[in-house]
Amino acid sequence: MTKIFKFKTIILLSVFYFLLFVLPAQAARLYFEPQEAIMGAEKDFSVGVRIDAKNQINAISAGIFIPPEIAFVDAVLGNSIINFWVEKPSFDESSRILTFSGIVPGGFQGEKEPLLTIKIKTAGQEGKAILTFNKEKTKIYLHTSEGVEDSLELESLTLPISEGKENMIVEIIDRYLPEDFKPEISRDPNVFENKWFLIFATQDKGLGVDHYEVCEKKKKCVVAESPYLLQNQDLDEEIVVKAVDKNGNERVTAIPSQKPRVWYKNYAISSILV
Amino acid sequence: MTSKNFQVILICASILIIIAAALFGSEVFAAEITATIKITVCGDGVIASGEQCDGASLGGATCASRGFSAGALSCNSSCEFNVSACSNSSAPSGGGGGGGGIIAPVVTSIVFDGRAYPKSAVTLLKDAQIAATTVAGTDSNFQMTLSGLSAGNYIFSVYSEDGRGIRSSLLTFPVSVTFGATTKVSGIFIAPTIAVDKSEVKRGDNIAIFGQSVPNSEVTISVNSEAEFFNKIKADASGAYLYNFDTSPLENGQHFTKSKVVFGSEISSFSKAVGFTVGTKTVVAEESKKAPEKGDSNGDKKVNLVDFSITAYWYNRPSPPLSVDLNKDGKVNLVDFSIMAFYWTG
Repeated sequence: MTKIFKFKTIILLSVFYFLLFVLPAQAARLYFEPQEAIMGAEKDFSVGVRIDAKNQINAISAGIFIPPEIAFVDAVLGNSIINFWVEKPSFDESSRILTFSGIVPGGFQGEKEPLLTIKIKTAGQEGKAILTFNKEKTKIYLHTSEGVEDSLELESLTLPISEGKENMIVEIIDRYLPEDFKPEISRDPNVFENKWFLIFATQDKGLGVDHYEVCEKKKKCVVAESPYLLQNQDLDEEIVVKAVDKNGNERVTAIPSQKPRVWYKNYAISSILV
Repeated sequence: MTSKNFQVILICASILIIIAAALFGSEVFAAEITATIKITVCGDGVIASGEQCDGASLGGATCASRGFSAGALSCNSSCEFNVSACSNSSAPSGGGGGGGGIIAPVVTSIVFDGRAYPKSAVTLLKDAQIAATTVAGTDSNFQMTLSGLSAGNYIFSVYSEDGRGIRSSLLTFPVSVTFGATTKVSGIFIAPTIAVDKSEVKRGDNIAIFGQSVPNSEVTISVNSEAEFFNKIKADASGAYLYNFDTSPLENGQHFTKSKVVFGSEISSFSKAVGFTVGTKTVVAEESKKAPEKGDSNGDKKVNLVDFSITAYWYNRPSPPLSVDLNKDGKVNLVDFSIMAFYWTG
């Protein structure tokens, strides 16, 4: 009986070993960087959100709970591995959750890769704050034809707050324009009732693209998001698209008119001027 | 045999099974293919493999060691020796006047070296948008250079299209680009293309598995069933390969096949998997379509930013059209974007 007991123990240990070491840990890991830090009471404090993707993944959505002890200041997207944002980072004051989602076309596998940087600051009280991922809102999809979820390891970050400590500011001097890009005019029966729309997207490797502006000739430039319904459906005027980063650097691209301008439009303008 | 002995044998057998499973498991993981892409930075002052020099670092080389008698050896922007200031003149010449200094413009660039298929079109995506295209040589080698980049993290992807218009899978890799330096990405080995001649095959009949890769390379074809079948074949001088697989050992139902290539010491990643059914009749497969299976919402045979934008328009809106609701669950959410990202062509 004792022998049997010993064998059972060996089996249990073997199974434990098998599960622990032989089966690979293939879950994607989401975590904060730095993983340990003391937060000062003054000035902004930057926390990077990073991913270790052991399997090839292509879509990420995340919700990050920011406790009331700290205030959300900004989300910096520069250098993110996310190529296209489905939802740009948005902080909901009532739930205190920062959400974002995006894709990496073609898939991605790697470690310590940045998703974004969160800037936060304290209300000036000592104590501690814990940043956590919201399990419901945080999902990662494998690079498959079926949209399969990857398993996840989510790590929170405990930040002791010390009034006496001064946060180290890592100032990013963003002198570079957003990357060159080519906006396209398109139409589709399923979008804007088959009217002409404009699509555009680019990246900024410094602080990230802040916003886009679309300038249809003789109309004021407007802050726009892709897809953008063109006001001039005749496409007979040049369109200028600006990508503006968080430092105000602008990459400007012009799309020439697609059709010659009809004569009576010029005549109408001349009449108004007279 | 007593029941006690039987129990002991059973337990020993269990242990052996566990150990075997452990060994088998580790072997399976070790056998996974790792296509190695090498990234070196020219301009960081460190002579990496494949570089003759880097900036002021000449690795101890001089004009004399390069076969000249005098002069000053330098390093060019491609990290190769520049011998233009080396000479073989024996008599010292009179000193010339000092020239005006020219400040060379700072160039941040990246060079891609790799293998596709002979004379195939190779497309390079930078952060998921087409940045360059080229045609591979008859030896299937290609090179592309991008300049005017910012310093930072980029995700680059490459794919190629074979002579029949069949597209390879995307090979994607992140690269950190250094300001003022030339980053060299070498060892890119695009996975072979693959297609089958039948969408359904009568069990016991042959199915032709074919595609293209590097000329005279060794192609391994995997057919996935309960057990995985591996078959090796050599590509011909044009890089084309064809394998007639006997479906007798396969069960009726859906199966997948994929291929990888070994050329010298280099190994490609696996191609995309192509499906076929083993059943009671034979159905000839349609000529491999250029159009991606899913995600091409505007029907232009590409999956790119236009399709992303159309799908983004329907994000969280009611009653989306089937062209954007890729998993047909009645809504557009991140699952649909994930499927689109899988079929991305740029």
